[in-house]
Amino acid sequence: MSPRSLSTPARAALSALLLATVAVATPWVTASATAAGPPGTYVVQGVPGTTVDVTVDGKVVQSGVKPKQVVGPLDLATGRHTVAFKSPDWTSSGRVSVATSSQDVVLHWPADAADRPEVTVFTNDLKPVVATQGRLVVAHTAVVPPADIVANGKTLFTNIANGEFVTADVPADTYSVSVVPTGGGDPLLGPVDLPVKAGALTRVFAIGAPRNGSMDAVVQVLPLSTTKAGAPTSVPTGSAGLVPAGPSRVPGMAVAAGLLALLGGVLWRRHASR
Amino acid sequence: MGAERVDPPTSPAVTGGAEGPTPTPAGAARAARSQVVPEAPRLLALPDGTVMRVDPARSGADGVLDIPQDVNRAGWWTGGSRLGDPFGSIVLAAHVDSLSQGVGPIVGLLSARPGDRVTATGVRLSQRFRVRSVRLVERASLHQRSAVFSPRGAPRLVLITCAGPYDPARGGYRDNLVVTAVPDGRLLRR
Repeated sequence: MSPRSLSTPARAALSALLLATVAVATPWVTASATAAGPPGTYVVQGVPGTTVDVTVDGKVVQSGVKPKQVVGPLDLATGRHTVAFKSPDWTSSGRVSVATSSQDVVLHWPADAADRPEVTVFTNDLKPVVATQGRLVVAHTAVVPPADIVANGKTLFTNIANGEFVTADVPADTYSVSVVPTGGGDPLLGPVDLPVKAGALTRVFAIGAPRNGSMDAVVQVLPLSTTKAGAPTSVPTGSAGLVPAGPSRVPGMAVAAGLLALLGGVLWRRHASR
Repeated sequence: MGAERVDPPTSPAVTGGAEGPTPTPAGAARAARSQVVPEAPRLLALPDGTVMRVDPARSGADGVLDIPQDVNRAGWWTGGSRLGDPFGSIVLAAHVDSLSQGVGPIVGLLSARPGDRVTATGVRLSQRFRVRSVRLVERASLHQRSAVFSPRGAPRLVLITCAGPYDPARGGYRDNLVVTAVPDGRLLRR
């Protein structure tokens, strides 16, 4: 979708989003937190501009939960539970299945106009990661059209719609990240610096709506177990000495080898013609 | 606070916690359709069309990459990148020869040229690569070539075998042949 093809409301939304970008940049960077404790169920308040009371099976777990606040891990028995979010204006709830995996129960606005937010469960991939790497998950829980994620100038993920996520294991680093409309156009968000820690799962939830300048991001980090990353110091790959010396074993670039062979051939022919 | 009653739901799709008769399941997040699930390479097609099977290979406590003894099979370093990872080196190595089997198919790399095509294939993913460089590196200093094993930088395929003068008294082949190849076209999903 090019900016030229945007409808007037969409254009206004985009403008608002661009204005919001500056305000968003700082929270994205500072919102990182490494959660302690075992993996479990976390509740993410992804609705800007209001506080909510979080209940599980009718019992209040925490009241007055602010936007971007993460509650948990909750101590929930295996089985089904109902998680509800109550604001003065609405109640949103969803039934959640708790097993051995870790998950984030996220309250967020859907992509289309709605009178209340919805609840989406993101399962956390806690498989071990190579020790030098971090696992990055970007979740689209904002009121924006499908978007791409650009990291350090490279389009890392494409066409993510509301309620969807993308993930990759990447070298631990601080990435310059932008959210851009799928199909091109100016960034919807960023670029901002996003640190991805080694041996950790970094989840980024894009939240809010551009029309009221509430675009923001929640960044949450969980530790992961790691697998050895040490590079080999030796790669022995032959034991018989059967590969003879020859032109193909001339060191260096193939071009150089080719030139040498050509030169050799010319000299040999001159020698032979004498 | 715990005894507080929930407002009656205003929509049948929304229920008020335990008070609701049949709570609706929360939405389950979906992976975007563009999501790639990286995987270990299983097959390696060499420039001459020979296809080698690929086994996972770890780097042992002694630092030696433990690749298959079978010269017809290649080893994929499990500490490196996978097919579909956005960054870093996918490292494959194979024995150029053995006393029991003679010369293996990877010997074809000794005559590889920039521009040659190689393909790495997993269960669901396949990526063609274009050879960018062919280099001889002294085996003893291979690990000092940081780019060979680095998880950083653009995705690439690094193929390693042995070459150079053979001196059994000094541990066999002196050199590693290192072929670096870059993606040629899109990652294919099957």
